[in-house]
Amino acid sequence: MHEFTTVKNIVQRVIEVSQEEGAKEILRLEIGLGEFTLLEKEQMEFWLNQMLSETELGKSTEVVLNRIRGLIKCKGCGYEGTLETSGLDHFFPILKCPKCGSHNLEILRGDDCIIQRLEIDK
Amino acid sequence: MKIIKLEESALRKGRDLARENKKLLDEKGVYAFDVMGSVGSGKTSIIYWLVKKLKDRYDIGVIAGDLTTEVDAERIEKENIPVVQAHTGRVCHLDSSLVRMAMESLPLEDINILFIENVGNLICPAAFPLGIHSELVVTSVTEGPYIVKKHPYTFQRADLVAINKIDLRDAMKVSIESLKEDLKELNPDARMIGTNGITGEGVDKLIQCMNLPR
Repeated sequence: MHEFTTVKNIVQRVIEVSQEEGAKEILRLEIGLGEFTLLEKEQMEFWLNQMLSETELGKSTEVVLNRIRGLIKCKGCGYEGTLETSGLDHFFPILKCPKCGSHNLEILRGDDCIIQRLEIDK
Repeated sequence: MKIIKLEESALRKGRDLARENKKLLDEKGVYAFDVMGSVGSGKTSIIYWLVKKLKDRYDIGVIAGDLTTEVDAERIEKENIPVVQAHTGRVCHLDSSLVRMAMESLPLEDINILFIENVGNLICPAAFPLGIHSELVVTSVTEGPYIVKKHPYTFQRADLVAINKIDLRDAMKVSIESLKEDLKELNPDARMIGTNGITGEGVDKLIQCMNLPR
């Protein structure tokens, strides 16, 4: 359900930028979704389509969600790379070094949601 | 047609505000806790006992997060400390802007400990930093033997965990040791303390582990 507030912020910003550019219509919106964000893809898609359809500019916007793979650096063994997903932790990768098992990790990438690009018609 | 490359974070606003909240709390000398946990785990009861046991030594304030009611705030207000209700409406977590608004209604100059009771939910609040110093998760034996394992994101971030309703562990056939093992696996730095929100049992030990400012 927290996707609702995130999408609200996204739509607000996208409309603001499109209006500044003098857009008549937003044709396409690309969002990058980090693996460690706790934002669920289907819910993001649902709310983006729903909220955009309620705006003048976003009635027929194509929404594209790109997954951003998470990247960590292990402070224990120095491993740098992606994480594994398994069993109960299928919602997001468990934050544990796949090499040494340490939980002392630094997230290098994947804990953000990015408004990547817009295509507008003037 | 025009392509606009934005590459802007949709979460940055909330995260920046969380940092500002922390800065303001530091300036005012307030040490803040985000108290998280499932619906009915006993967050309000634990805050009630913490307030009762600490209010002679510290000046405490509470922000009570809830969807629509004031039930929790009214319960804590009876202890004669400043309490502000933050309503989230349809939203499943507190965020840094709601906390900021609530902070503005609190006499920050006059308090040195702040407990922020998050909305009853063991998933979403973990994704929204408020700008606090310590995370206290209140969970309970009635949530079953896999509650820690099933919520890695929340428990990995916790500084301290209260396992509440400890008196029901035999009836629930839940092993505290096994829950502690699960926590150790996810988060070796966090401690888990057994509590009883009705009698206050275990709350003194919880306080000892809270690293409160002297």
